[in-house]
Amino acid sequence: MGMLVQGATVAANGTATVTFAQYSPSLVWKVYQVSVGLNPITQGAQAFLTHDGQPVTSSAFGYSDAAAGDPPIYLRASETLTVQWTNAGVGGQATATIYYEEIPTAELSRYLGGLA
Amino acid sequence: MKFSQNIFQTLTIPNGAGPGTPRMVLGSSIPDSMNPITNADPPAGVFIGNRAIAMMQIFGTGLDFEFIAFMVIAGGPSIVFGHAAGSNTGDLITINQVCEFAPGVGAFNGFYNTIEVADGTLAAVDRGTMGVTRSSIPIGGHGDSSGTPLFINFLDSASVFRTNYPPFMGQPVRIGNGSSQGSTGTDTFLQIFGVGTAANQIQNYPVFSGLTYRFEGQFTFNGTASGSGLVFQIHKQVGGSPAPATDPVLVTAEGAVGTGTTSTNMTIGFNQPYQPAANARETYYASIFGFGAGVITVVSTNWGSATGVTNWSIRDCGRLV
Repeated sequence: MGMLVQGATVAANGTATVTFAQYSPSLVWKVYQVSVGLNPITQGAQAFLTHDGQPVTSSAFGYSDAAAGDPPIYLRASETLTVQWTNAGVGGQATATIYYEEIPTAELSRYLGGLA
Repeated sequence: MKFSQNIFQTLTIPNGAGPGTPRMVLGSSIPDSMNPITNADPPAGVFIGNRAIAMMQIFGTGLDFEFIAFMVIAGGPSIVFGHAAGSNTGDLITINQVCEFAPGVGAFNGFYNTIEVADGTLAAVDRGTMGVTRSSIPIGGHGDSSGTPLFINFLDSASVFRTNYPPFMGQPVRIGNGSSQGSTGTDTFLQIFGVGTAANQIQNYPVFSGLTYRFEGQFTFNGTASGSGLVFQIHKQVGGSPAPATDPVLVTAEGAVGTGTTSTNMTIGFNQPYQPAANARETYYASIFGFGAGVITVVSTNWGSATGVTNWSIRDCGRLV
């Protein structure tokens, strides 16, 4: 299982955005978990998770939370996984971590039960 | 994939919403959007501070509501059951704490823990209080050699459920002595079965005035001459050690070997009620006096036998009606 951490500085309007992308057509990332955090902690900060622009889930505890469970997110080449914070403390550090498994694209149908 | 706290995101957060609308409020106080709260409102979760949440439910009519809150108060996590009154717009909502369950000293992390119900002394057996400590409920009675109360043990690493003795029954005290107690040609004090140890006494047994208890048991001895016999007595120990001459006698039972018979076992049985005058922890012991001719020998082979011969105990019979 791989782990990838990315961070961003909270802007003056209290927002921050972190984007994960993978660019290899021969691979698909099976993302098990997305963890979010803020330093310093900002009460009331929210985090929104989107997959290629489509909403996945959100949290009222954007300063410390983790999204996990079924279904996992399959991140194909050129697709993006984005975490956006709102109401975060200006100048703070927003961090997102993904935990994933690399799958050869040719084997993706086996993971998806023949549906892909 | 979901965030762990995502359940609360399924609620809307209206500003100033009217009755009948689900609502969730972030912040440290109950804002206008909660007012008025009426019996038309559904249950709602309310964040009332950092890492604290209250769940409320309207019952009956009126503007009051009940709530269960998980919060950190008095320096530790607590579960609070409460009642809130007055929830019209502009009202100062009054929160009444009905009861609170809070961990005691130490972490709330398992069975070796302390749960307080009311504010009584932990592990007390006094009336009006109940204590649960170290996974046991002391319910009174005769215990181990240290004289600690009887326990029911709940879930622990050793067993699913275990009770040392039936509730409210003192551990049977088995007595016996295989050696001769000597001639009893005259009334002769023979033996005190109580030397300050739990094996020979019922110690610190809690009794309450108004309740009835019974001393039960039987006692087997062997007389080597016809006409020999003895008196069995159970005393309440008043001082620090047994004093059969002055301690109150609660039970008296007598038996004798029949005339013309020798080396015959004789069994005394007794079942004597006892009603204490006051609430107290009491200690009891047994003694025997011999009379008649011959030699008395207490039969030790029956000590602890499966038949229960030669033992005595006290039993709580409750309140007579």
